[in-house]
Amino acid sequence: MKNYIYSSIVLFFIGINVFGQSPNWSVNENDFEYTMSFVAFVNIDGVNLSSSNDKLAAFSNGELRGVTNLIYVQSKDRYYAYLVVFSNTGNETISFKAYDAANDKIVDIDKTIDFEINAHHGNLFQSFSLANPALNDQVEILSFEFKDVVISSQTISGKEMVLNVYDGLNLENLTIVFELSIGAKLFSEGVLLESGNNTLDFSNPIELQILSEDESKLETWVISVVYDAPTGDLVFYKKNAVCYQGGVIKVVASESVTGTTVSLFKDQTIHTIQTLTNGEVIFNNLEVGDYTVKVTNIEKAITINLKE
Amino acid sequence: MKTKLSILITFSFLFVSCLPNNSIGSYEHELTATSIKFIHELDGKEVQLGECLSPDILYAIQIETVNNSEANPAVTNIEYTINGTLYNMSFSDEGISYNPIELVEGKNIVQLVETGFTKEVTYVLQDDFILVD
Repeated sequence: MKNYIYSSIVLFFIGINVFGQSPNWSVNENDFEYTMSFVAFVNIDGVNLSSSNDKLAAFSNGELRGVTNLIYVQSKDRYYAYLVVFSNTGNETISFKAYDAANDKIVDIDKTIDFEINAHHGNLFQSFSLANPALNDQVEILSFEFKDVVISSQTISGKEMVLNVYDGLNLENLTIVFELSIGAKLFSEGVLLESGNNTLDFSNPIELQILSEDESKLETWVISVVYDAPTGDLVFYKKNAVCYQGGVIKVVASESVTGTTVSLFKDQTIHTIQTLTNGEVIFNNLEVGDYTVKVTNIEKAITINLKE
Repeated sequence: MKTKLSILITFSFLFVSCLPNNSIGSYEHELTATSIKFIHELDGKEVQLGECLSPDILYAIQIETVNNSEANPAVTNIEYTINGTLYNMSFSDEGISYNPIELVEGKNIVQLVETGFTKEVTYVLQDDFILVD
């Protein structure tokens, strides 16, 4: 019996050392009069904590004011901290620590916030970021286009973007290809969009939301797609290259339109993009090779030879 | 006696007039052209075989002459042709001289008339726009 007790005690201590020990954070809620709350996500070294053994705690001048374990939310497939912070006065500076159970370490979060009585921060879509190091708060659209579609022009005014495409393009199934600020996410009606993997109907202007990496900023953009003005008939001309000067390709539209994009491809790679001016565009100094000119939905193959 | 002296002087002048120049110490000898070439007018460098000729560069014909005699060189007109049209270049001493040339599209052939020595370059102009069917 004695041996059994000793063995149990030894195993108990071994277990503690092997599996680590989460911080003994505990708050007596009855000591405080006021609360503020958070729906937060915790990110350490670029990785979101994702275990119900992970913890988030709030402190004021080193005194523990709130603690919670992370909770898995199935609808978002993500772990959140529902944290209630206690205080007896407003305007205290609240700091945070996270316990990373997988690595059995406590991490100080640089971010602080002033206590506000009954204030609430974060929700499941735009949760409060507690990260070390801090995450990016930019919400810029660095590029936005459609797969296999030539954008004639792009106009941005405030949070509205107008994209010109060639007349007759089917707008109902356009695959969006975009680049945002680092870590930012793009949503349509709450659905996360992936560049190159989502098609949207642009028959009418649509609203897209951009959420910054730290989820502190959410911007709504209105994206519209309009057709280019009709170019009429197109006539293509060329000059072959000579040893001292490259070849030339000229496109002339029967309608004197301005602004329509003319794309020049060489070996199926974009070479130059220009726009029609008064129904005409010229590509100068082209090296010998096979080119394709794309205007609206018209393509023309043109070979530039070397005149000898 | 006076008459004999006059006749002698007259014959002397006639004799001197009929002598070649060098026999009286002022003999002049025609220069000989040894080469003809296309050059860059700006720096005198020779146009190389297969070189790209540009309308933005000025070209010239350069002829080099030598004096094959110890006698003084005579002012010599060296005749040459450009695509069959006759030109000449005047030399008062041995050396090189050049005349600007306006190249024509295609072959440009220069030839020294006296020796038949030729040089040839090909000049390509960019065509105007052609319709792409």
